[in-house]
Amino acid sequence: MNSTTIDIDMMDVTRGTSTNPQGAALFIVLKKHLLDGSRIRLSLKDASPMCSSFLNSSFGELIDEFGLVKVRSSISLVHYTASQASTLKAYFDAYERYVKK
Amino acid sequence: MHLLLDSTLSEVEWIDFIERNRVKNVGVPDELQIEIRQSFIEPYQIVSLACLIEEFDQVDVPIVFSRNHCSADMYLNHVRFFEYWTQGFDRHAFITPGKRTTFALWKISQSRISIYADESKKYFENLVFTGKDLSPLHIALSETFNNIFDHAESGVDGFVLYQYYPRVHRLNTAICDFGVGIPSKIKTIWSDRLRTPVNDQDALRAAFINRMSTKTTPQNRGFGLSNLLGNIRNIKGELIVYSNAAGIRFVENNVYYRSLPAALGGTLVKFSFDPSNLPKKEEEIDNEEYFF
Repeated sequence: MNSTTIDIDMMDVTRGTSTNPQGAALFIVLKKHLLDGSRIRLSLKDASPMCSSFLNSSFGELIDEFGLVKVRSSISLVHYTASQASTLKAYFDAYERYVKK
Repeated sequence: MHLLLDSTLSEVEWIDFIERNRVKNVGVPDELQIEIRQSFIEPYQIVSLACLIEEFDQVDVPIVFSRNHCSADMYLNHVRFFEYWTQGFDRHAFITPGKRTTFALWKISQSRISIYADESKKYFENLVFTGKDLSPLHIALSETFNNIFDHAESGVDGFVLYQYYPRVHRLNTAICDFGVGIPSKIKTIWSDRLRTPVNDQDALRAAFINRMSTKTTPQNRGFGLSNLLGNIRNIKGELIVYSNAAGIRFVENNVYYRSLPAALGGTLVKFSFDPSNLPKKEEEIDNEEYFF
């Protein structure tokens, strides 16, 4: 296992943030790097607002597979807005509160 | 078959009118002639009428509009409504009406959900509400569209339209589908757990609770409709949903219920808000990494 930090621009991976398939595209890329043991610096530059289908199929699936602790500690955000960070944090919190109980 | 829209029906009466005139209730006529004599027509009327016409179009019934000079006719002409069922017209395309307070009537297409949400957000941010962040509208649209394709099984997909009314400072959005309806879907999953019947109002209310998932797709986690409601509430908006025999209205922190005389085979979603309640457009944070 290495501990490389990988930079990923979300909008290079997916053309939008509204649907399950778009979330799945992000999930595949993030999963590959988490399996490599990498840390991920995810750029949200010019990203659209993220809806629940997108979040479920990307971060939700990632948490199902790797666990919330691992996902939280392996991914950070750059080029983000306060509300984007808050949306993702709220999603992680909701997952912790509802899904794993 | 001749449909005359000439009176100011209440919302509930309008929905009843649409439902009574569906193909399943009137059969397949030789022709559908529509005459609109209203002085005013709202987005929810237009999208539900579009679903109705689409249903007749799908069974090859010719659609004929009897035109006149009433205000509603002029408005529909402006959004190019009368062209939508002419041969070769792409109802999945976004047709800019040429008036900046209206965004295209659109036949919802699963593959273009994010493009439509992105374009409408940009349109209003750049032309109408400069300096405002239309993300709540983007999310509300995406959640509603996904709900149609994940759960509704609507034969006509659905239609969306929104209109800004500058004099009263309201942006009104309406989305309609002719699917199975939200209560029907919820009751299906409850039927395994409950021994007593559940009414449509209780089922519709439950759909807006976090984690109420029908698990129609493996990715469903039951955040969609509660996220729609949360976004509308955050901007002090009003959300009204009619589905099957139930209607529900969320305004401020209150919830009101309505019953429909005849169950709507589908779902009609309306939301409206004062754009001055939208957040300001945010600056991107470039110099700081965010850790969870």
